[in-house]
Amino acid sequence: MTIKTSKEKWTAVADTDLIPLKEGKRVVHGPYELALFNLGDEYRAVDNRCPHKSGPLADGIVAGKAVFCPLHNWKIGLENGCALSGGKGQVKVYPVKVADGKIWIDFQQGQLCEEAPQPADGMAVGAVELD
Amino acid sequence: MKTRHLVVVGNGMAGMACLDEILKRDPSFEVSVFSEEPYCNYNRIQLSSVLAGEKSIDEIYINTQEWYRNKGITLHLGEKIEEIDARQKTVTTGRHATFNYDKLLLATGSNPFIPPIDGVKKKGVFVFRNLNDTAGILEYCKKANRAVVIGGGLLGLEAARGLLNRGVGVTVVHLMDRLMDQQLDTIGGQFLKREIEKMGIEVKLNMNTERIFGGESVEEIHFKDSSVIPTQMVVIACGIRPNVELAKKAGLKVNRGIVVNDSMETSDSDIFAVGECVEHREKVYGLVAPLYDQGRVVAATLTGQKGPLYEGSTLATKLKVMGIELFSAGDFKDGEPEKEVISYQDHAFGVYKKVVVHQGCVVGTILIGDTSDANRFLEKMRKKEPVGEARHRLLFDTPPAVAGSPSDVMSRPDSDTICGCIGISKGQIVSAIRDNGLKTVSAVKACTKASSGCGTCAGLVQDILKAVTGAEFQEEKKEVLCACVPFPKTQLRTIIQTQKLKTVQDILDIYGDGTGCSLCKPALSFILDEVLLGEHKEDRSARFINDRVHANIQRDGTFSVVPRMRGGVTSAAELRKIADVADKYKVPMVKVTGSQRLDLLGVKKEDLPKIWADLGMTSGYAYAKAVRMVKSCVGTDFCRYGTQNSIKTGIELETLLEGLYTPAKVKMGVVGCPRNCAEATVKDIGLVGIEGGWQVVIGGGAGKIVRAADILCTVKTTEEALEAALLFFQYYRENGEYLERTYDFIPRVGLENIRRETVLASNADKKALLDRLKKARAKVVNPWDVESKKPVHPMQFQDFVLPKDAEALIETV
Repeated sequence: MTIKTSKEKWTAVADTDLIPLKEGKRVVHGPYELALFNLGDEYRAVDNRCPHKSGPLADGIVAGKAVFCPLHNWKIGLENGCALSGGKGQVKVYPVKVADGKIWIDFQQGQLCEEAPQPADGMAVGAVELD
Repeated sequence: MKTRHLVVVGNGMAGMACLDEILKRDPSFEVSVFSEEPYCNYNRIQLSSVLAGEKSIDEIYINTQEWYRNKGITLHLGEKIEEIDARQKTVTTGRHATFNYDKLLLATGSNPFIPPIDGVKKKGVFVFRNLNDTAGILEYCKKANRAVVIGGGLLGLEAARGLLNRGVGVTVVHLMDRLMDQQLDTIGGQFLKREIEKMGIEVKLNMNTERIFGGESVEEIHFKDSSVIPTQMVVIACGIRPNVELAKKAGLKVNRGIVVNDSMETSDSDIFAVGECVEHREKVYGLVAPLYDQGRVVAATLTGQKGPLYEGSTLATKLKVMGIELFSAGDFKDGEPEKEVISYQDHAFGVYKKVVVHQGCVVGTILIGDTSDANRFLEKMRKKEPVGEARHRLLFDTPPAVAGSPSDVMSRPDSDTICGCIGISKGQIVSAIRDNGLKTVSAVKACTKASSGCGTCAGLVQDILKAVTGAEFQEEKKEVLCACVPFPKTQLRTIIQTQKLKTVQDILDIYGDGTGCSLCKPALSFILDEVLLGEHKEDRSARFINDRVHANIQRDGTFSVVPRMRGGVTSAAELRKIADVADKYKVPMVKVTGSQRLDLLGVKKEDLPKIWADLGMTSGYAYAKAVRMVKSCVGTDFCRYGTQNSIKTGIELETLLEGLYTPAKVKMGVVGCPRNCAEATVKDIGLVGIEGGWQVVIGGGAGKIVRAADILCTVKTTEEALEAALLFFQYYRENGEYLERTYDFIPRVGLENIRRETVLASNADKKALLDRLKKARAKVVNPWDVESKKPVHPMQFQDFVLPKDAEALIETV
């Protein structure tokens, strides 16, 4: 068991009802650009830029605990930030909590998940032709 | 040698399965089949799926007329055999035609049992046994909203679920103290009742029907306990009785069924009987699996290979009700001292597993909520293999490394039965695949008949095929929409239509994995919108970002704005507005597109609604799988070669279709002469002006694939040309696979079929297509207008940009 000694710094980002169900919103705070998702039973925050070609993950389609990047359809897991299909890569995951009707993010505690499972290999699955 | 004449009475599953076996062994028979029903042989078990809207009637036919022809079988449809003269060896039809036979096969099946109560002849009272009954119920339930099913057995429950799917409120009344009392024990009955009630079907047990009451039509059902249920419809499903009338008249030995010996011979050695009409060792079977066992024995006996005997079948039942898994087999009853019961109950999850062991062997099982072990137990029962030491984990077999992986089934011995209905072993399937080079599941089904009964083993057959063929394995042509919702699009359309599902999430929850993906969520959004003609509940989270903000996302996350310019015609005023907007919002680039319109590129999401308001123009849908545009040439207005008014017609066509979503983007073109300046012959739909008329062309493309369009028809007037274009457009909307462009759609469906369904269709069919199109078009709104004034969600176009001094809370842990 690890004992946390660091300070937590929670910043209020938005009222909980301002993110539509199963959608994401871009959150900009100083140097940080995050994608914050309403998964129905919880909120999740990751870096907004897809590891592939920096597509805005906040604009992706949410399915279960993952988001599909709107540019080339990489699938990014929102629990550990790892690419689940498309290719290899990962984004930082940020702690999120809900209190007083607001969503709070600890921007300083963003981290790359260490035990990143091996992503599925191969090309983007079912990539959607965009035009 | 003189060919022998074999007459088969009955064209059901038993008769034909048996006939198939006979002809396989000895094709020299001259065969006549008499069918009381006026249809080819169909899979009766699947009638429940037809009622439930999961299959169409076409999908349940087993053999086509061609099959009979190819086998040299004379098929007499709609002809009932009224009499057998066993001494003269003749049969006589209802039309007094007499035929000689050398061998006679009776496969007369069974009749629904109708309890002797008053009122069964009233309008609205049905039995549920054949295709006619099913069609009658489907027609009648359109105007009924309450139905009572008498009988809580297998068929009654399947009928109830079907009616529920058709939007009818259903009560099931059952004489006994538990549902499916032939297949379940008391506990199983309780589990099933809960699951059935959860679906919204009312269940009443211990109900003894006294009479069906009403005027010409049914109005109420009265019960012995004086209770009354008002209803508009009654389906009687009180079981079946072997159809023995003909055999009895012919003087054959008949008890409950037509009595046969172990060689399936009746009391007359030239007359055989199979299927539900038969009584063998004092047992009558009302299920499909024994038919095939019996069929093989008859076939062997008839073709002079007498030897294999029929020794009875292990009964196994699977309830085919969407959302409920139930399996029951063998002797599941307990209470006798020498029988041991191993069971597991999870009430919260609705899982009940029970295995009955007798003298160390499994003799019966009931599985509810999880039937994945059905085949395993059935196999143990068939082989009568002792449970032995594995007993402590009998209910929970060691799970395979990856659930459902091909290696799982491949690790089984070759002698294991895969298809319980037909009795096909793993080894037989493997050698059929190897010997014949089979690559698809349907090819395996056609060759071995495996999975052609109840169809439960289709997944296992596919696993075997995958393992044996490896990379050569071919998915079925009839592809499913997506692995998350494993149904073909046509079936999803029916499901949405019949079950009135209105949201993407509902479909995913009931028919899919509950989550979906970036492919099926937009696809289902489209299908819902198309089928319900805009009356679905729009779920923006299931739409691609472009459809959430009505603009096309660019590689840097900005968006492009393309206003509609019908026919590629604009005006000074429009251009001025566009120029002003480009200045005001510092739009990095204004580009003329390939579609004869202008594109404002590099727009920020939050500026979109403001730009739309300033423009006051209609969305060009350049971001969507939807109607894009109609390009046109100048035509007779100005061009010296023009033969038709292409600009006016182009604008009209675009106006008629704009704003409609389609399986994939639809680009159109209208040209005034065959010089084809606006490239109509490489568009999804094109009108090409010719002297005195128009050619309507479809399926052209100049994208990933370059394809010259096919001519749909040549017509004289502009009205006819537009109508033809609209007919094809709507037909494609309804039948195109999601993301399938017209240039793939036409080769898949076939130009002749498309013509037959559109321009050559009956006036009524044409009108229906056009009416649906009109209704959908009437629902179209300009999203730029509506959502610039009132966004769907207050944050639709906004990000959260936090101020420097954002409220922060520091906690020390």
